[in-house]
Amino acid sequence: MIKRVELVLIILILCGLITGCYDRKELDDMAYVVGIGLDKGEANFLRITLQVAVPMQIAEGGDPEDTYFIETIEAPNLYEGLNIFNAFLSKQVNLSHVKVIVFSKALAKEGLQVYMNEIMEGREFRPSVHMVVARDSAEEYLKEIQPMLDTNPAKYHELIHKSYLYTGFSADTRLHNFYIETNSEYIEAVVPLSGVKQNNNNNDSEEPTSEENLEAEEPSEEEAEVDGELIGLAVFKGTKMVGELNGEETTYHLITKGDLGHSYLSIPDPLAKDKLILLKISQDRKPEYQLLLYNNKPVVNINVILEAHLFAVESNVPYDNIKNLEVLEKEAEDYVKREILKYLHHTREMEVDINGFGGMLKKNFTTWMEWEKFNWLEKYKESDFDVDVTVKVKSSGAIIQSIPGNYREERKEEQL
Amino acid sequence: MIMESRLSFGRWEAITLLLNTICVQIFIDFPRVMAEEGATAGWLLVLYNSAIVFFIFSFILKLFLKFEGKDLLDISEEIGGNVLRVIVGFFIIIYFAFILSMVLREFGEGMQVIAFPESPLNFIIMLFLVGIIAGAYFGLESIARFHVLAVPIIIIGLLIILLSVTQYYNFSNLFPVMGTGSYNIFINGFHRISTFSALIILFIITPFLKTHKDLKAVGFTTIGMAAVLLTVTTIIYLVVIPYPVAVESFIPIYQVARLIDIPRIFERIESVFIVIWTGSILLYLSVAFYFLVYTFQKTFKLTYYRPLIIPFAILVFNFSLLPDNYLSTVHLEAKYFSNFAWILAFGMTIILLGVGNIMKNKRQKGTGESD
Amino acid sequence: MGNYLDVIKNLILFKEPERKETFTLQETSFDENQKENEKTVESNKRPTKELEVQRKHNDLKVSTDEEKNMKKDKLKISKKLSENLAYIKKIYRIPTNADVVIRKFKVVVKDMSVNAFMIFIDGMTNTKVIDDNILQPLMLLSNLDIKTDDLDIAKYIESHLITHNQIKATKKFVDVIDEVNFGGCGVFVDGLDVAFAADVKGWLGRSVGPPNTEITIRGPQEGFVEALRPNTGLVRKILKDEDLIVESASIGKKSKTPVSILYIKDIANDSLVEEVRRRLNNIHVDNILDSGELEQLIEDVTILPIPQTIATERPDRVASMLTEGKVALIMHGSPFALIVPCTLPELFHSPEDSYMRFPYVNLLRFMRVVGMIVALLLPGTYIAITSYHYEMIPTDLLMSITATREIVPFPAVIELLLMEFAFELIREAGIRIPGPIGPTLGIVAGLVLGQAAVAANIVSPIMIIVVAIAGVGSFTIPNFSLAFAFRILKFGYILLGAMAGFLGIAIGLFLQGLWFLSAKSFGVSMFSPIGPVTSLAFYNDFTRVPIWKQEKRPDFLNTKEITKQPKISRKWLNKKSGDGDDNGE
Repeated sequence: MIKRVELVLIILILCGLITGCYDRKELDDMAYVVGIGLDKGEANFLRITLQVAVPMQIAEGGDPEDTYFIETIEAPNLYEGLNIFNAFLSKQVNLSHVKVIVFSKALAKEGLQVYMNEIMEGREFRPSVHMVVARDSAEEYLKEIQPMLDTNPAKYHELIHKSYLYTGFSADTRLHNFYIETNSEYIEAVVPLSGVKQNNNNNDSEEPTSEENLEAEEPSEEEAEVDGELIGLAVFKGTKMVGELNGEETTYHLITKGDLGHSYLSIPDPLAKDKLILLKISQDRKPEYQLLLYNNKPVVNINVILEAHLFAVESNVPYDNIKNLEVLEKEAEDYVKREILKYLHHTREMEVDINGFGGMLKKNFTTWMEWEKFNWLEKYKESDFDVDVTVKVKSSGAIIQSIPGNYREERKEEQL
Repeated sequence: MIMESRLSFGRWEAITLLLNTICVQIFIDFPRVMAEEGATAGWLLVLYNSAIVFFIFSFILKLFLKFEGKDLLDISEEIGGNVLRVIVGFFIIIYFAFILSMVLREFGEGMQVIAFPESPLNFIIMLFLVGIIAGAYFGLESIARFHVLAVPIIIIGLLIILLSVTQYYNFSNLFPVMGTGSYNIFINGFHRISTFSALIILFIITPFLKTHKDLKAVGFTTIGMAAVLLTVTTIIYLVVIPYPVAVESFIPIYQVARLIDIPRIFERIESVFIVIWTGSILLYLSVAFYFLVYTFQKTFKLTYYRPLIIPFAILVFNFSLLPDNYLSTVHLEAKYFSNFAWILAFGMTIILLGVGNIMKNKRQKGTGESD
Repeated sequence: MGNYLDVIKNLILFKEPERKETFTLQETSFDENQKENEKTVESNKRPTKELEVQRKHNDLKVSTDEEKNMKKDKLKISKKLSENLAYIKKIYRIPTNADVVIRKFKVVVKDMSVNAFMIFIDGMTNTKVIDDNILQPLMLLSNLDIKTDDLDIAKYIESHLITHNQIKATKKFVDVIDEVNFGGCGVFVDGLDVAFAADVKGWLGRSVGPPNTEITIRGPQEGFVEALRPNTGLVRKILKDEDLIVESASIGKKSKTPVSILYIKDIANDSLVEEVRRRLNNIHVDNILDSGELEQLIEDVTILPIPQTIATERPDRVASMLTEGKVALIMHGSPFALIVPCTLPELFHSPEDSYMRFPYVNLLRFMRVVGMIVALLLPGTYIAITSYHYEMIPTDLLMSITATREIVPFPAVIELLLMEFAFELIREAGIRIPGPIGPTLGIVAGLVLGQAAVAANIVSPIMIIVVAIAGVGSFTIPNFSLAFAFRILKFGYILLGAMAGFLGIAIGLFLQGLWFLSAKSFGVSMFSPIGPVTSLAFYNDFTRVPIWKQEKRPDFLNTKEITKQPKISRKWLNKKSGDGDDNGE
């Protein structure tokens, strides 16, 4: 049906179309960036650090340290810097697999507006990129991370940002959330902080004497080991960083927001002086909020419900009978309430509403303009808090009844 | 070949055809426009528009009773002879040509940003043109049948996107309820019924729908389903991306699809949805193009429509490249076009039908026949 | 050069389309008269020389057309035996043609003894039947005194003497010659201008065994053979219905191959049968050897990748399709029967689908659809993802793919095309490898070559997986021709994916969809019942409903009788009507 002549013409036309593979890139022509760090450089320049994955080493299961390499340059802004990278890297830099962006604290204090615009404009960044604020410098953070357990730096980043679910010491802020929250009219953003110093002006329950502890739950008083640990949060007002939260405050932040996975808590023993009780708290139900406007001042009522497992008792007090449990619960509730209030007052000092209480108030307004005029973010500093905590201590796992600690002595006495 | 005498539409074909032409806007910039107009009450605006269109359509239906089996061009010929037919046809042609070029351009730009940063715009638009020309050559029957197959798949894909981001839902984004205020929504938002201006296609395919009952069923079903889809999409879009930021998204559905993150399973699968979006756009473009050529043929009473395909394709290609950049295209469409599209689709129809009804009544009374 | 100019002119300028008549299936009215508007036949693609349609005794009469003047065909048998003998010897080139046998004998009729001779072809006839039923009565038993009033010898011989079950008396040579050519024998008697042609077929052929291509686990294991009458016998064995009509036609000037048209008269649409008949009668070729050639000669669109007729080797499948209202064509010499019209969902049915239980069938159909999609789209999608949309790949996988691709010298497209060609080569070679080496070579080629290629860094392992899965996927498609179609189209998708990523694939799907949707097979759109949505849309297309729910025949066939079984076909469910003989309705 189709004569040879027509066929030839069709093929010629098709060849013309095939030359239009403008965008085709081979997979091995690109360098995959896994982490980006931004610092303040000299003379208003930006210091850009790139952590680039080395696929051959990852695939062959090489030494974890060889699976990536780090480079730093200075440039006026992010994309020009990437251009410079392209100039000396043989492969084209590809940002579609970036897992983390690290900002230095200095940069954050100046304001991240410019960088956010740059980043959100580029289509290559996933909206789910994690964000970190580095206490000292982003370059050091990226350099000091040592993924000892992972063959893949990307996987390291993914996993460590989920650690807040079982430590309670950081949060998981993605680019998308950050952008929305910094532009929002009722909530402010927080970003995990890395390498935090011990904040010691809280109460006495910080001694690392309890048995079961995660690594570095209680940072010591010295400068934390620059291991790239994520503890604490950087608090932003708009796109500028205005303060920090330390490890415990972060836990209470998570509790108030309802994002806590579980965490460990040591409270003073109500029935034995100077001893501690280790609880594992988790949050199954989100807290209930109520916002009232009293004399045009907001009053925030929060009702927090926590579950606790009894893990370790230092003293000999038997907490397995109901009366003692109730006492314990009450002590736990008071303790948590105190801490939450302390945390909320801290946020009030910083004049940032990082919990998003404003969202509850929106229902009272009918149009957007009224809500904007109300300007919740400014009103936050006048608000009052009222916190109710309920702690339910459940059974302590595998041991239902503990043999009282002095059993041996009692028996010894009997025998004697 | 004269295809019209052979064409006949089933109900499902007509319904899916119209549904796709109305809902293709979801894939371009519909949620963003609604968010811009109505802030947190964008979905209310959609519902309001649907209700209005519903009433307008029932009104038009009543007027259509006397003209069963005739489309707009036939009616205008009955009323005003050749001249009126040419005028009405001219308007319809302008409508299709305009909307075709705009959508082509917008989607081409969208594709460029999403997946093909380095390809020139010509290349992408030319690819689409290949599809459009093929569609026009194969005829409306094939296109309509393809709709029946493809539109459910597209809707399922859309629902998958919308339901995979539940972790980002935040219903407080829907408050304050009235958004920009009732004046803005109800008065200024009236002209947004241009969303449904694609119903004019329904009035052109009346000869193929055998009975008036078919027309009724097809119309109401389409409006109902389109309303549901548009509202649900707008609500979910607002719930995921809150108001001030919602106005900035480039292609809203793409932004929502980017957020899908069920770890280890679906991590960044928005590119798969390119297939669905392209499918929907291609179907829409083929339909619009076919009706462009078909209306031209019918207006000027030509015997064949095949030779018109290539010249019109070249015309549309050129029109789509006319605007300078994406922003001016959106400006053209959202600010100017949508003000007039509803006048064309609904206003002109009502006027024509009204005049036609009056004339028919006069004629019947004049010849002394009883109804 | 002038050729090119013409072609460009043809492409660009507009030509009035030729008045091509397309066939659409008529709605049936319940009386036998149909509307005539589809019958205006104008220029047809095939030349219009028509051949005579032969008749057989036990089939209904069909309309015949007059043959053109060919002297040979009109030649009448003369009364003189010697003339007939000379003519026959000349026609058959007797001394040269060694297997044509002429047996002279004498017939005693009443009191006369007349000369006669018989001609048959050795090797095609059943000699015992000839001896017992033709020679013996004519030579010996004609002596018996048979009471009759017949004075006409021809009639006397035909009605009383020859004790054979299929015989006809004819005045023309051509009838005898055709009969002899097809395994009959011709008897010429001196003094009669009539010759007798008897059907004594007895050639050796394959006996009925299991079908070679459509292997099932449940269901009958009989397949068609190469002879026409045994095949139609196999179908009749299943459908013991007097309304089953077996018409015959003959195709091929030289080969004169008989073809049978089967349909059930009070179910099948008349216009459909008429169209089939019309197409068959208007084929003008010299030889036709297999139903594959027949299929290509009667199908609507040659260039469409998907087949427009279903070819099957199983009589039970033919029978089930006949009961739905379709028409079957069985050709002598081919074990594959053709069934028209054909729709795409039916190409996905395996013969076993009706015999298996409801849950298994739907799962299997789903797997087949998945297999088809994979076979068609997987390589193209892989290329699209790794060339344009690499952000979709999970980072871990991306690292390993990149690492393996690092070492390979070719770009991904070339690699894939290389592997695809190699795979097709292996497939093609595998068909021709004799006996015991066959499977081994398949394993050798597949495994070892693949492994060696990977180790030599010519291809990456992922490519091998992709190609292998696509190949396996194409084997799940039950219909042989359809699998071919997807193998070809797969290359198109590879090119499109390499050109424009997912955009290209979407456009490819769009074009392919449009193309398939506009195709018709004997007046029925190929995508019914999904394409044009008919009222019984989903009873047996991609999913199958339980057998007791299949109450109606497919709507798109416009059959005369649409209900197949009553609403409740399992009357035993209702306990009250259980006693006695309520078997169905």
